[in-house]
Amino acid sequence: MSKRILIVEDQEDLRAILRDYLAASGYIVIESVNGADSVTKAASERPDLVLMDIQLPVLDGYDATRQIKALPGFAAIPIIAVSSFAMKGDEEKARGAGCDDYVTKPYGPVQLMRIIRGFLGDQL
Amino acid sequence: MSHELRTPLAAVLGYAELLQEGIYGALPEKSLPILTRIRSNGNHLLSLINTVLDISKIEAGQFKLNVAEYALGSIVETVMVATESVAATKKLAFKTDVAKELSYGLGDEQRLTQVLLNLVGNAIKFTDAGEVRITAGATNGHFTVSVSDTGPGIPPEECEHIFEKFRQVDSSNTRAKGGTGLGLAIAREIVEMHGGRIWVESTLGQGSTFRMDLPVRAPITPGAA
Repeated sequence: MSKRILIVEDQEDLRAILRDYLAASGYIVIESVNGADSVTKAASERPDLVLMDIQLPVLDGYDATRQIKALPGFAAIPIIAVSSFAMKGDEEKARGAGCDDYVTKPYGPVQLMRIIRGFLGDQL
Repeated sequence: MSHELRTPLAAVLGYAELLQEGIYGALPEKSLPILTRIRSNGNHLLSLINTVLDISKIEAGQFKLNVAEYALGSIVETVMVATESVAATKKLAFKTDVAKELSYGLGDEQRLTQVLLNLVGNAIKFTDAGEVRITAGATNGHFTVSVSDTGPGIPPEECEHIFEKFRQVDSSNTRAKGGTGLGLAIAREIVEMHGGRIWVESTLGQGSTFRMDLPVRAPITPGAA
């Protein structure tokens, strides 16, 4: 059964790039455009992994991550932070909020896919 | 500001990578090297944007260091890994000479890496034969880092001006060799913010050596500038 990935990204193009690549790689993609919506979607769609932009409207990626990780059964669901910040403190902040990994923009989709597959234990 | 400039470019680069990966279907063979060119030009534009953003932050007095412990040896390693293939393409020998058991420094690792990357990038760019060498050591609580090349050298009257903005030794080089004339100005700013200094020694026709002298522990509060 195909694994499900929740993409939380407010920029339409960046979301489309991730969606197209993940879908072409055989994943089922669920999309969300803000932090608050991502928590609702996570609860209803039960994704296997979350790609979380940090700079998000409504609720930022740190808070959204905390809320998703607090949902029943979500502690072990990997959340990968995707950020435009390249400051050391920001990675610590993301990990402190519960993110399992941290990628800075601009990332190559291929590089990101390697990380995703690593977490999902899928064939590289 | 930085987000607004980088996001559209990230989209261009991302779509180009997916096209090249064949995500949108097979492409004519001939279009693949063009996508490589789109991506390399896009990456070049990205580095120019980063440079211009750094300069505008410096001018606005908003340039901040992210201070933490760092290992000088791993900065040299990062820079070597990033540049050795370019040196190899130009058939230049690439050597590093890092003193053993250097103590941990306190400073902005990412910014110091940027400085060394700039110096080594310049050395490779302007040297057509011979070698580029990075040395790193420590004396009296200061790291001493140098980048030497066997390039054309810099005229003595230019050595003191080369760290000024938009200064390039030969302005016809801007087109031939690329660059913004801003890299060394940013490098000097970063080094001086660490309480260090940077200068160049050069003999025309024999090469140049850029030297940095950095307090091992930058005299700034961790986490802030």
